Amino acid sequence: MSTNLEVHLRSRFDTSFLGDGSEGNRYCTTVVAPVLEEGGIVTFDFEGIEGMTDSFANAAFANLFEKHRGLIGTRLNFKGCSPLIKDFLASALAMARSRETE
Amino acid sequence: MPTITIKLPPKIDHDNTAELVAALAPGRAHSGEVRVDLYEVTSYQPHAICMLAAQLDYWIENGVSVEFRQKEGSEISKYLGKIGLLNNQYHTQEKVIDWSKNRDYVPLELIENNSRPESVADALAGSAAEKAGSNDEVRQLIRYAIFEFLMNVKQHSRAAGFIMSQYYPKTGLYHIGVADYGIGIRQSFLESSSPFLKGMENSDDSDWLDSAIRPKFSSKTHLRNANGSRSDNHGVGLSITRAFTRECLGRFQLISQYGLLDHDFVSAMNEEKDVPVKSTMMPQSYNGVACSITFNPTLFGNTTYQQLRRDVLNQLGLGGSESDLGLFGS
Repeated sequence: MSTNLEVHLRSRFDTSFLGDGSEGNRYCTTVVAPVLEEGGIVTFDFEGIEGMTDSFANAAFANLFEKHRGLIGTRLNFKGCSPLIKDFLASALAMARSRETE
Repeated sequence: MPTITIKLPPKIDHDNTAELVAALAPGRAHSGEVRVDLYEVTSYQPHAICMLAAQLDYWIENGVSVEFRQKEGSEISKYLGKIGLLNNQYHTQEKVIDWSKNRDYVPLELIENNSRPESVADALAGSAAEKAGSNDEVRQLIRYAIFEFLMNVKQHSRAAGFIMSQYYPKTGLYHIGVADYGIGIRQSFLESSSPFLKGMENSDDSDWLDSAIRPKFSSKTHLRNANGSRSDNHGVGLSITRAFTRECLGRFQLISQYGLLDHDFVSAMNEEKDVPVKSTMMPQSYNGVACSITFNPTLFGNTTYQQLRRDVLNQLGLGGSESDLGLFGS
């Protein structure tokens, strides 16, 4: 049976500003990716998140998108994103795409 | 072991960073006692204070006895004491005053592996922005830059680093400085057997600095984490931070070993020329990496941080597609 996971980032990382990419990458690799690989649904909730660094966006999300880009909008979902956060996620997606052509 | 005296220059700003490097150089490999002469010191910008702190920390960590010569009761002695640079561990007679009790002084923060970057970045960004009465857009940019610097030190430095930010009311400029004491940029590429080494075998420290500000150029992008996942590092923080500085007509300086990169976007604009294409080589080497940015928050005008970031990322070829925004919620 597949698991569904909702990640409230503000609570998970105890901050309104996501900066530590190593922490983000570790979480996405060890917790989020296995759920997706087992057929589950993941929802990232950005409620309460004011901003992030590009280091965090790339370490956490570009790495995730590189493997699971096809699941965005179906089993990999995002909510509570401000326009600024959407920009960060879109550039992380661009980073993931650029790596496919490298 | 003989005692050597390091006589510090009176004033260090972006125009004479190499003078501080030269002054510290005789003590780099010294294992005896070091006397640091602060007698003529009057003002140091944040990057210079961080470089000095990183060197002092290295000496202390390696059992070098450090003693200070300073003017009793001078403003600089009070200041260095208040920011925590001169404390009992560093064998000074100066009484340490907790900077947090006096908001006229900005903190000098130590970055170690166990530092929680959120706390450091919030403290520094909040302190600087509050003093300048800046809006939230500016505060976000400061926090972004501080965090990228912090993560660079945590990911690339072997030793501890120091970070400091300060707002100068007379010039209206923010300064953020960071420095560590370590192997420098060139050596970190050598030690990681980076693919970027190909074609750069004969490059000197200045060449490495010119490359370091290119997007996706990092000594760690090719590495894998212990669990097999992609590297945390994508090599974009430095290039984006520099581009923000250019957009806000500031100054970006990067130092590693003998290399000195200095991009003064204000002077370049005033003189209607471009910033130097090539970094320079200093006569002496700084053991580690230091970086400084300054910018004028009033130049933000009506531009939002989001718009500024979009412009910068598009210039660097790192921007996302508008058509993808809908993927992340309505």
